[in-house]
Amino acid sequence: MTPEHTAFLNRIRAAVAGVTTERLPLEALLAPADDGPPLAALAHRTRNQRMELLLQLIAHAAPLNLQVSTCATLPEAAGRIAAITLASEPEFFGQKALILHEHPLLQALALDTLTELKDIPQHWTSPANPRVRAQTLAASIGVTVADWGIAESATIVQLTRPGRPRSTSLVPSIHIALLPLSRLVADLAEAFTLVRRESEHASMVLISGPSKTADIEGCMVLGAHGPRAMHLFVLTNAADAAASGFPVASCSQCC
Amino acid sequence: MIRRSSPYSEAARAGMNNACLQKSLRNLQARYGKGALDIWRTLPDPSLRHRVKARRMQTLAHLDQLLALLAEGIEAQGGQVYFAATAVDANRYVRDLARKHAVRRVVKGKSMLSAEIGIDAVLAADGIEVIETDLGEFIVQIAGSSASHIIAPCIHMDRQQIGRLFADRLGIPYSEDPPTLTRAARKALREKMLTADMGLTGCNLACAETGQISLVSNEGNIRMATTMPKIHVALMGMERIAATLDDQRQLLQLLTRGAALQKLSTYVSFLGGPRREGDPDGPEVFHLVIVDNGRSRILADPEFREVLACIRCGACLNICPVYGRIGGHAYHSPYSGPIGAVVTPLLQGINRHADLCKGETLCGACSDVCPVDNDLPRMLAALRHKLAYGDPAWQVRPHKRLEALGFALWQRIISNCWIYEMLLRTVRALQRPFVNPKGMVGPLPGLKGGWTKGRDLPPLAAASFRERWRTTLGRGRGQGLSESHKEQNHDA
Repeated sequence: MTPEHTAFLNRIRAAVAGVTTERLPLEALLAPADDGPPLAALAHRTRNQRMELLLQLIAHAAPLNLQVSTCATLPEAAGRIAAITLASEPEFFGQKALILHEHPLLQALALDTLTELKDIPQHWTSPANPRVRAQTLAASIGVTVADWGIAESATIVQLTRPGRPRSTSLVPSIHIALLPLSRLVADLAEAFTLVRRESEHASMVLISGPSKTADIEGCMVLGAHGPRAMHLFVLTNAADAAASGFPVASCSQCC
Repeated sequence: MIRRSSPYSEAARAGMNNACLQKSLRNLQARYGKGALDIWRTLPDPSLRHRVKARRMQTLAHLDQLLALLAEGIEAQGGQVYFAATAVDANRYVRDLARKHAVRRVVKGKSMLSAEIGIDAVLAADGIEVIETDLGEFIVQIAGSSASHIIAPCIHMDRQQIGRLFADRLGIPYSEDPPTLTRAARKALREKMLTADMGLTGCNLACAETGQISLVSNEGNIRMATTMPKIHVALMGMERIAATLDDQRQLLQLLTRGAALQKLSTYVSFLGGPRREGDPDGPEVFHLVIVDNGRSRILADPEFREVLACIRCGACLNICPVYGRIGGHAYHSPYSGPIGAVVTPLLQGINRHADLCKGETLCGACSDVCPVDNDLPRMLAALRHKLAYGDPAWQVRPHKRLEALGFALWQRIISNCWIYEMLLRTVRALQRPFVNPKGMVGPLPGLKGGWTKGRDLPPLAAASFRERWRTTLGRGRGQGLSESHKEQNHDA
């Protein structure tokens, strides 16, 4: 701490002291809320309750132009992604291309084996790949996996990790995210209870639909700076997701 | 005596005569102001706003400790923190940083603090290109105008004006189609964002516990500015901090609901340092500049500390009857509306911005809609009190000595029954030539002109209440009334 910083904080201390007489110890001020009850609720959530959350998610996603659909199996999800890719129009460059988070679930999709995508370049955001930035800028579609989904606000939570950069969900014109049903939670409070238990991360983003603006006469336009369309595929078959090696938080009795 | 009208009155008049602004303000207030009130009315937990406010005040009472903790957290993640006592300090720090890294182009995320400290001009003086990336901010920047709403910066411009501006400045064929205009800006700004050396943003709310700041946006421009350039600099007003992740969550949820009736904005980013090993993107350098610039003086004043609880959602602009007529430019500050009328004088001089607190009506709508339950009308009245009587602690001179003298005289007049009634009779005689066919007093000459130019006044009644009491109720019945009044008192 430099002398300037000390002076700055001392000025604040003096300003506070002039008005406030009582102060808590810092530990008491920072004491986290008891996360026992939300964790218990999460652990005992049944598959049916999760399906109800899924209906809420779908209902809340519609006004945000977030397109949610369910996939029972990974091959079904792969087929849907291929269909979206084929139907899409490239925006910035003449060619379509995919950029994918290096994630076991996405690797298990085996998109590179689909004949309908054989002419469309696919790249992974692996730490070993030195061309991730260029490939992301050239990609028309970014594919990611959500760490969690939030039903209440139709939101996905993504933690930045090696091989899972921020730009994949931001720079391409279309963002496709996958979410195992077992990672769907009720609200932001539940999601943050889980975030707190994660190891450190450089950054985190909450995404609720495609990029948008209403700055010109309040008229809603999709695709201001980020993706102009966003698709969320909820994988309802947990066993399938688990088989890909992705740690799926779920209750073994009900899912 | 010739009185030039103040910049506030002039800009307010211009706002009221701007048909496009009037239409936009009506739409904005009909939708967002009322919408936010509805959300608060139907909250599952009606005490949420009060609790969050109490927590906010508690946080401010520990601000020095929490800022120190935040700084430690950021430094532990490889970021750097600078505490800037003044705007000049903050600007110098960012300019030196830009020089050190040979920055040629800066892309900005919307930040009112950046406008408060005037950093654009400082960087531009170094030959650096500074570009706003929020669509509304970009439009007002290339138009050479300034933001007139906290959340909707170009609300004073219509699609035809924006269409002509884009045809002129972006070289596209004229269009007044919002999607076409948005796409043109998207293309132009994307190139800037991908080639900028520095991203410069504000900070909606930092968190001491996690050592991360949070930024909200719907467009994704802030994610771009914090992800693609090599350097990210975030400017943070020193009061914009939550103690725990839980506090930060509740405040963000109130912020996005208050601002645009959203459960969450499209993007909420949490970040606190440069990219890590194995991250293919994110900035290589991260600096957080925590700015005081007059805030510690507000913190030290029990009357005004509350205003530091503000999270700048702009809900008070969406409901204020004064802002709703005059628009944001009259406030001559990045902070407009009721919040601006309190915070601008406190940050930049109470005498200098004397018109702001006097222009508001104290109707109380702003405190009804405030997500952190701030009593802005109380603080507006406190500012008026300082202007009336002066306050050495805030270097306030009495605003209008003549007015003060007038009120002192008035006090003498109304405390003497005989003089008061004499005056009534005199004014009644004098007002006759000015009563118009509608039975109202129209524009008056001289000093009273300011009161009557924009509105008619009802004339003094032919008989005052005291006179009518004497003539119609007489002594006997008056006695009776007071007798029954006594009985009631006994019953009670």
